Amino acid sequence: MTDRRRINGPPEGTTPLVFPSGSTHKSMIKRSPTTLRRIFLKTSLTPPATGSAFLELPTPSCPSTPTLKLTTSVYGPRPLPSSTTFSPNARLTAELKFSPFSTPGRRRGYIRDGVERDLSAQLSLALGKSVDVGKYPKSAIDVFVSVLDCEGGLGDPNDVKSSGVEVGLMSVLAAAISCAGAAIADAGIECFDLVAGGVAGLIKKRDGEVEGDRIVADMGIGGGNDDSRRGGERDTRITLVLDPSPTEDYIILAAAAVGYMAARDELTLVWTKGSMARNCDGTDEVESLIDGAIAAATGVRLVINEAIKERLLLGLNAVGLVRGTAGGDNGDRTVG
Amino acid sequence: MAPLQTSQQTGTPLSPAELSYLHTSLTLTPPIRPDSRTPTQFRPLIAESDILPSTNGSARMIWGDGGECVVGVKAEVEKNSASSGGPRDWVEISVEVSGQRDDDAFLGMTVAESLLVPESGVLERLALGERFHWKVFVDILLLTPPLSHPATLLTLTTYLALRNTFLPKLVSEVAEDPVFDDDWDNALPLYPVDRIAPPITLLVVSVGENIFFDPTREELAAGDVVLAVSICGKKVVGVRTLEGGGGGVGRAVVKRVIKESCEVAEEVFGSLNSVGEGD
Repeated sequence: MTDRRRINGPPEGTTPLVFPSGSTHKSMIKRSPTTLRRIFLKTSLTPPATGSAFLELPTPSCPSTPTLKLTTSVYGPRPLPSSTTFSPNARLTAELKFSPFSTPGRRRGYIRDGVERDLSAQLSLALGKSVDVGKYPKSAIDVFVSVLDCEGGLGDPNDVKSSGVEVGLMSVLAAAISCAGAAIADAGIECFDLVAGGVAGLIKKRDGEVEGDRIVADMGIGGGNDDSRRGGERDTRITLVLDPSPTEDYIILAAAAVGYMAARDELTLVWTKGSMARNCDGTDEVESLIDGAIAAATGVRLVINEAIKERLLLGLNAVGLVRGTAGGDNGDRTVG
Repeated sequence: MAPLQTSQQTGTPLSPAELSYLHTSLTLTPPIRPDSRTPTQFRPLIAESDILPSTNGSARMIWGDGGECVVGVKAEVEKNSASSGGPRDWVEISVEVSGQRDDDAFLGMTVAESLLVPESGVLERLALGERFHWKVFVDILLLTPPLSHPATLLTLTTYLALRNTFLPKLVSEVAEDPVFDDDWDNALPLYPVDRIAPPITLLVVSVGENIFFDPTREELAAGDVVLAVSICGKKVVGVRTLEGGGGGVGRAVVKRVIKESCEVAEEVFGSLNSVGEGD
């Protein structure tokens, strides 16, 4: 006897509706392990600031896929407030802030949290060593980086990713270093060298089974850049990847971010995460990672050079000093 | 990081002439440190373990410059829940520095980053059957902030406390609610002797061709680069650049620092493991 007073479901049952989730991260373009992503870098976009820069990774085809966008403004050198004590050097402070809408899913608060303070400290460290602070006594240089869009998770405990190292923070820091380096140059502050950020990671392809153990015997990556290039072709399970993307489908076992001054061949910042084994003859994995990150930073440096040169030629052109062909270029640079 | 930063905001502790003198004496071969230590020698310290009876493991360390650190490890049984972040949430680390604001997350992050390295096998030992797990609280109390960077003091004390942490032995089956052995003597160590030990962080400063371990504040100010190298067993699990020094350094220096830290870390592990054996 059927119940006529109620609306009953179909007697044989239904299958629940499944909606494709919006955050399915697919790598857009397959790139080789040593190819860097294209970078858009343009300086002097914030008129009130002394120097500014905007950095962006290419917009993905699917609008819901996150990408990396950040803008930097540099104020200074300006006099220190009279309440502070005498300082023979310029004081460089860097502040990195994630916009509330920058992370996919969860909203970030306005108050600076531990992650932001940590990144700010590392950023000011990386920049402070490249600026000739002795030239500007009693003055302050303030660098503000605001992350507008940030790909991947930032190591928050709520992230679904269970294994591997989060590389999102590292790529944010490396991009912030590059962008701030360009902005400092745009501000006309004297530097020892331009500083660029680079990230490299040791990755394992996610092919079906995911287990925590690693195979050290398979490690075929030696000390140099040439070896890391060959690493891609080798039939190993662990590969060195330059500029790894957190949205791509692999497990990152260890990652390194560096701040690198290419013309002086000097490092201003080293940050590594994840366990790196030592082969019988030394810290092989660490060395290859740092070398890989340096190679990535060298690639980014070329973009910074071009962006600054373009701006400079534009300025000289306006004054009438140079009759160049700097105009009409949209600043889009490719590396790798 | 925080104590050092505040001290640097008020200027370096040394005048330019003093800095240059110190820098020169540290670049000599063999180098001369102000307190006539060898490059790899640590300052004398007092370390003791199992000092807090109500914790699962504890340790205390008093550094030569007056820094004191107390670490207590407590474990609670918790139900697995789908809403939380999974095994990442099973270890909670809090650092309290006396005279600092509570929300200063800097130091805790460096410790947590190296402690929660995947593949260390700790999280597997925290699982209790299918539905429960241990939740470990590591409370680090930094009394009298030391004059140099507290990372080494912090991690060495944490290492000692974790090595002495014991969890009651599980006697129930996997699917049941957990029931534990009453006998404390049967408790299982969180870090068994034959497994990967907890990580430690060594502070290393490089001046010219020389590398110094356990630097004082003055040596930190005179150094070219200050690195905090976290080492777990024989693996490097983290490298961070810290405040101090000026200008960049070549990549060869960084690699050499990391390499030497690995060698020194083995000695440090050895001497830490002998703490408490004497009495």
